[in-house]
Amino acid sequence: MTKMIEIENLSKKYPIRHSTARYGTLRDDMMQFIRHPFAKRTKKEEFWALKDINLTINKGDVVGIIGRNGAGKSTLLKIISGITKPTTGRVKLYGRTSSLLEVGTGFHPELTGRENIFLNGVILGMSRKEVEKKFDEIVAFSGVEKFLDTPVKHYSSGMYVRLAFAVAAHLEPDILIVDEVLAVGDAEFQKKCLGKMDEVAKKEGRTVLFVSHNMGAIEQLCPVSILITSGLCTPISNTRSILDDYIGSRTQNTTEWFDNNRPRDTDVYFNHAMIKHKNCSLNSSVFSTDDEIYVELGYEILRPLANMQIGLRLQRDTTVVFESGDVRLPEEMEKIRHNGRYRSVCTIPSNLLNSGIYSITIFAHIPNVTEITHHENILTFNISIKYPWSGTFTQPGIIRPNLRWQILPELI
Amino acid sequence: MLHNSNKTFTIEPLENRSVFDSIVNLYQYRELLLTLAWRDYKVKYRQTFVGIAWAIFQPLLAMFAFVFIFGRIAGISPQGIPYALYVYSGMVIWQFFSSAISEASMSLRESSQMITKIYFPRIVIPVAKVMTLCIDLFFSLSVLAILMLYYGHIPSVLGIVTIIPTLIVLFVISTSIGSILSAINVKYRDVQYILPYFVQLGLFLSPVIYSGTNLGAYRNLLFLNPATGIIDMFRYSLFGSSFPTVSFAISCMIAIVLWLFGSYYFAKAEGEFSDVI
Repeated sequence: MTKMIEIENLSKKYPIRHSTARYGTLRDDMMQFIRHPFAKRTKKEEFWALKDINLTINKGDVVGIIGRNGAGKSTLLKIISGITKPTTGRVKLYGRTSSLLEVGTGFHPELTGRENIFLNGVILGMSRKEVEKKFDEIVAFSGVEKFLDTPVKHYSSGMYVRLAFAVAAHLEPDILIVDEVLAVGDAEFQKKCLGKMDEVAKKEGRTVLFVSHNMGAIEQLCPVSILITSGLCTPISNTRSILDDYIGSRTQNTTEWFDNNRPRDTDVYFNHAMIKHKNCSLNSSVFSTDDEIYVELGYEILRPLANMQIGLRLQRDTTVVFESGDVRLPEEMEKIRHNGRYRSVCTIPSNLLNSGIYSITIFAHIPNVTEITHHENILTFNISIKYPWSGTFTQPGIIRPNLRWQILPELI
Repeated sequence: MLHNSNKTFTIEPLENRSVFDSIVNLYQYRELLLTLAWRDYKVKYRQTFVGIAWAIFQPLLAMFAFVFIFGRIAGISPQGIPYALYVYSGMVIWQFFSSAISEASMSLRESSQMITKIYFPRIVIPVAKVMTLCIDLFFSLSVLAILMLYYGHIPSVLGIVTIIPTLIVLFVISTSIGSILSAINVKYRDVQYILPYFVQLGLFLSPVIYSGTNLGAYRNLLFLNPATGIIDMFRYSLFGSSFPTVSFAISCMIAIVLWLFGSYYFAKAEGEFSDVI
C-alpha cells in the first residue's frame, strides 16, 4: 500500500479571546508593551482543538471523519489543507492535494457564470488550460447553460451552488479533502453530487477525506472512518462500527428531549419526548433487534380540537420507515380532545426494525387538513445485532420481521 | 491546489522561510496571480457608465484642479516644463502609488473568505491588486503621451529607456508597502483608518504639484515620501531635467529595504492569517 497522507503527533492550540473586541487594536498591544516592556506577554487561556493525532492514510482510501460540532474535524481538515499551521507535529502529503471546504470559494457576484468557472477553477488549483478543456463538461454538469453570460448575483441560490459544485467536481487531485459541502442544494442535486463523489472515490481510485453530518452519505461513500471526540481521534476502522460508537456515545439529548418555551400561538405544544427499553427505567439509545422500544410524547392541548392526531415518523437516514399516529379509527378521530396535559405512548414491537440508525420526528396534525406543529429528528437511536455469536447475523433491508416459516414434506 | 510541482509536501509548525520565498511563490502561483488581477480589473469598472475611462479621468481631473488653482497664482513653470504637463506626470505616479498602497492594504481583509477556506501563498492577493492598477497606469500613461505630443515635448531615447527601471522601482515599493500594510491590517484594523490621512499628506510631501527647489531648506522633507525619487526620476526620463541622483538613490534603497523587510514580515505573519482574520 502506498502512503498518501501521514500525520504525526499533530496538535493545534488556539488562544481563547475573552474580550468583546474580536480584533486586537494597536493600542492594546502598545500599552501592554509600555507597561511591561520586559515581561512576557500575559498568558491567554488556551484551547487544544486537536491533541496528538496520528494517522496514516493509504492510496485509494476513502475515509469518513465523524464527530460532533466543535470536536475538531474542521481544524484537522484545515491543517491538512495547509490553511492553518499546526502547533506541533507534521503532516506529509504524497500527491496533488485539493480541498473543498466550501463550494464557490472566490466566486464573484459581479462576474458572469462563464467568468466564475475560470476564476474558481484557478483558485481551486486548476490551470486555465485544464479549465478550458473541461469547460463543456462543467457546464453540462451544472445545468446552467442558459445563464452562462449572466452575472451570478442574478442566479438563484440553487443555480449558484450547482455551478460551484460543478467546478469543484472536475478537479483531479490525488488527495481530495471535502467538508460538508453536500449539505447544500436540493435533494436531487445532492444525489448527483454523491454520485460524483462515489465515482471519484471508487472508479478513479483517489484518496478522499470526507466530513459530513449526513451519516447516510458517510456510510454510503466511506468504507472506513475515524471518530474525533474533543480533539482526540480513534484509529481508522470500519465505518459501521464507528457510527455505532458515535451514536452510542451521544448524550441523553437524543434519548430525551425537552422544550420549555411554550409558544403563545399554538394549539398543541410538545414539552418532552423520550425513548427507552420497554422494561427498563433508564433512557437508552442502543437497542438490539429483539428489544421492544418504548416512545413517550408529552404535550399540552391548548384549544379543544377534533380530528387531531399526535404521531411520530421514524426515519433511517433520509428514508421514512413509517409514520404512525395515536388515534386511527374514524370514531376515535372525531372525538374532541380537550385542553390539558397528556402523554401519548407508543411501543415499537421487537423484531420489526433491522439494525441501523433511526431518528424520530414528532408531530401533531389534522390529517389532510393542517399540520399544527412538528419537531424534526429530535430522538436518535441505534439498533444493533445483539450477539453475533448467538446465531444472529446481519441482513440487508430496513425491516427484519420474524415471519412464520414452515418446513413441510414434499407433496406427492 | 496545495501544490502542483513536487510530489511530497510537508506541513509543519515552523518553516524555515527565506526572503526569496515570496518570489518563488509568486512564480509558482502565477496563474492564480494573473487570474485574481484579471478578476479585480473586470469587477472594478462594472456597472460604471464610462468604465475604464475613470483610469484617465482621475489624474486628469486632479491635474485640472491644480492647474486652475496653482498654475495661475504662482505662475510657476518648473524647469521650463508646462505646468499642466508637470503636474500630470507627477500625478500619474502618485495616483498609482497611493491607490496601490490603499487598495493592497485592504486586500487581505476583503479576501478573508478565501483565506479561511483554501490554501495558496497569501502574498498573491496584495500583489494581484497592484497588478490590476498597472492597467490603469497604462491608460494614464497613454494620455500622458498624447499630452506630451500636444505640448511638443518629445522625450529622448535614453529617457524612454530609463522609464522602465523607474516603473520597476515604483512597483517594488508599492507592492512592498502594500503587502506589509495588508498583513498588519489583518491583525490591527487601525491601518484602514490611519492610511487615508497619510495618503493625503503624502501628496503634499511629494513634488507632484510643486518642485522641490521651491522649498529651499525644507526640501529634504520630501525624502520622507518614498515616491519622491520616483517622480523626480520619471520627470528626468520625460523632460531630461537634471538627473535626480540623491532622491532616486534614496527611493531605490527604500525599495530594497522594504522588499527585504516585507518578505520577511509577510512570511512570518502569513501562517496566522487564517486564525486571526
